[in-house]
Amino acid sequence: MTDRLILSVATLARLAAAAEDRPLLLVVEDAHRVDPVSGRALNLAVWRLLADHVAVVLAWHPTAADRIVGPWPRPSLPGLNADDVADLITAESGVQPSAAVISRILDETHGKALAVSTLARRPFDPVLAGAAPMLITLPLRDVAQRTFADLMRCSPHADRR
Amino acid sequence: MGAAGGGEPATSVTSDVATRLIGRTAVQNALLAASDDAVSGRTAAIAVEAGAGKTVLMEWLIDAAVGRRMKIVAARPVEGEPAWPWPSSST
Repeated sequence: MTDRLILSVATLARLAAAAEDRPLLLVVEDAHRVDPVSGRALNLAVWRLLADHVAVVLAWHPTAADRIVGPWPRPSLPGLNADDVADLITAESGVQPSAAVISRILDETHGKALAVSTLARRPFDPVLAGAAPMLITLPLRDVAQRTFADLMRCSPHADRR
Repeated sequence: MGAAGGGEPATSVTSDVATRLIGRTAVQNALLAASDDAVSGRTAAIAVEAGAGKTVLMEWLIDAAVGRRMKIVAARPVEGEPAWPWPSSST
């Protein structure tokens, strides 16, 4: 038995044992950073979990070199729509954004919730409300690039800028 | 709140968390479904991509799982060595 298989079986046994008395939720955030050996072990273990009380949730950046490549369902994340963007900006900033601002932010962020939320917390209330010139919003792209450089590098959009 | 993929997830959250979860209804429901599968004895695995506000989603999910009396194991790997510096029989 190879080391890889031993590690996988051990991981499987630990997960199954942990879920014997109560259902288990295993959350791996930033799963793209899992080292390859651990990723393979976890991957093989989860493949073999069938009727165990285990939920495995991975949160990751979709990099080219996925280290955990299991049969993971990936819920569709279409991005926020205009209504969501307006609600989020209002909730975060207390300002009702103008239609032009919503449109611009949607364009700049592709509706990425984290990007919208962060932008809404920036101190430019008059711009959000449409009371100040849109010129002030032009740095949005720079802000997005600086703040979300990693996200944009991983973006599936071909026109990432 | 605009919503996609069904109604509001059946968990209670604080107003701050609710704010940060605006527009994530679809993924919230998918995560809850995975938790429910586990509670029912069906292993579930799901991957959530970055940009959905994954940290707040994970916090919310853990709270929801606690409410379902689930055992929680949470990990957040950090970027380090891309691979161990010694030979491995698996590579």
